[in-house]
Amino acid sequence: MIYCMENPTLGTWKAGHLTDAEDDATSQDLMCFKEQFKSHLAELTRNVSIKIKKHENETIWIRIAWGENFIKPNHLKPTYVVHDLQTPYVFICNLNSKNKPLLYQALVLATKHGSIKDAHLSGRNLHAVRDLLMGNYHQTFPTNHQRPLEERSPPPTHPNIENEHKEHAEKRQQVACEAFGEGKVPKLETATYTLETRFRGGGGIDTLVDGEKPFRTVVQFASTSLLESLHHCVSSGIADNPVSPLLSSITQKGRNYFVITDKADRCPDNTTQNSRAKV
Amino acid sequence: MEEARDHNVLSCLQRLEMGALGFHSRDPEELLKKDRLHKLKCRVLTLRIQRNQLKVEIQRIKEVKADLDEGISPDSTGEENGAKSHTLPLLMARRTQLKDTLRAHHLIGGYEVVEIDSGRRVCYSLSTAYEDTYLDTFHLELDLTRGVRIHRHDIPPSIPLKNLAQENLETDLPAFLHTLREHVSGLAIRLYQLRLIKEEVETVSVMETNPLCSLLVLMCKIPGEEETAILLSLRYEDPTKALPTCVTLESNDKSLPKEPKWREAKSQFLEVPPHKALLALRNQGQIL
Repeated sequence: MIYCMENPTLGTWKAGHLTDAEDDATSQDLMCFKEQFKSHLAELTRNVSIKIKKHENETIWIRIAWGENFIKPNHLKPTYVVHDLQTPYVFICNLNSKNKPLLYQALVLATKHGSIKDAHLSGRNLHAVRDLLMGNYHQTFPTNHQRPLEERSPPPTHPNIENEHKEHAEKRQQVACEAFGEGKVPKLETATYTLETRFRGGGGIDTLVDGEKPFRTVVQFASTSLLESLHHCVSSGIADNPVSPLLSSITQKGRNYFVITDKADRCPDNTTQNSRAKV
Repeated sequence: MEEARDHNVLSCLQRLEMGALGFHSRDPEELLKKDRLHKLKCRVLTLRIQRNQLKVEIQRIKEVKADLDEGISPDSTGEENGAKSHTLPLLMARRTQLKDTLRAHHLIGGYEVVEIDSGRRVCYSLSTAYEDTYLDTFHLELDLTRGVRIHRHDIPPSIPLKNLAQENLETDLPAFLHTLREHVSGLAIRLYQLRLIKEEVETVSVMETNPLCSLLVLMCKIPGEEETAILLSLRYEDPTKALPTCVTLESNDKSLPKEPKWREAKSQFLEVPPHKALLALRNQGQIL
């Protein structure tokens, strides 16, 4: 387990959101949570091996090895759960669907919340997923003082060289920083948009125009550091300004999986079948 | 031939002589230059007149603003110009006054407001401070299009923002901001005090804490005997305050917590911030 803590990029981490907190949820004690979780999970299913460890005074790491009725717990494929007490977020790695309801039930009871739901955020790097959800990166907000371009990017090599479109570049930088954060941003890898919208025509593909049925498409953006690449797109003017709410919802809502239906008015017009745009 | 004439010393002298005698040159370029010079002089005169007019207006606005600052109502001063010409400087003076008040509020540690998107959204910056150090600044963006809603914020998740918003946001915005600021301030001060404990009192080890900093467990060693140590638990029930509400003392030497000097030390922790209390105890020699 210590190996997993040191290398948080081994599997894919999924985030969960606990809702309907009861009144005394914030005054949870570590010992209390440990005992409750162990007892609840042991009640729900026999033959599990649970190990709970506290890391850096704030986060709790739980390692669960699942076993069947007469089979010993499988320590080769354990599930890891990371939770900060007093925050409504849980991060789970390596959980199969059979054991999902059991784990959710135990978590909900132990943390004294009403229910748990999928936060639609997943990534390989645990720290990135955590930082995005809890806002631990440098977010920019509009202030009365507009920061000059020199502060954010290195100054030109020769003092006589001047940037002609300095104001526009500053504005674009400000918009990009507001939408995607500044400096070291969490390293997300993908953003997936599932579109269930009607095909609007165009491109000469008339046979696919069928006004009744929705046209299912999946658009996925993949990158080594997605937020940085989107930031660069906006600050260099490649992407639209103001930033499309589809892109800015990644940081605003802390998700990277979106389902877009026709009732919302924000349908992109340039959808193509199963296209993958690499940024 | 003409160029040779122009570059010649004699031609220069000839031109100067013509100018001195008052003969106008027939060269079209020179005529254009004179024309342009005349136009520029006229423009300078018009700009000077405009500048003087603006100076008078600014002076008027400054006078009205000075009156407003002193609390004199401008309606009482009888002006011959009539109401319409008086309203604009009044409005501008009022606007400058409001901006100054807002700036002063921000400087004394209140919140700063910025209007974005031409009035559709408002961004508040709440700054926190302890004694004479500025701590973190937290931001809150509100969407004003259909009722007041929270758009974006960077407040840590351990603070119950949704509950506070449900109570107050729609009805009483200043009260909401006030309670939010107290919560955020309390958290920032507690985190800062924890940092000070770790930096200044290194012999005391922090055993347990949590994201909201509502529980602090410290282990202090007693000088002299090696085996005894004291476990201090500080509980902060009130999330807006930076002083603990409940202090418990435990030790492996059972009689120690009952001694009067330790009881006094316990009550000290309820009144004085923990890092100062620990330093005082260390100076008195009660802990290492």
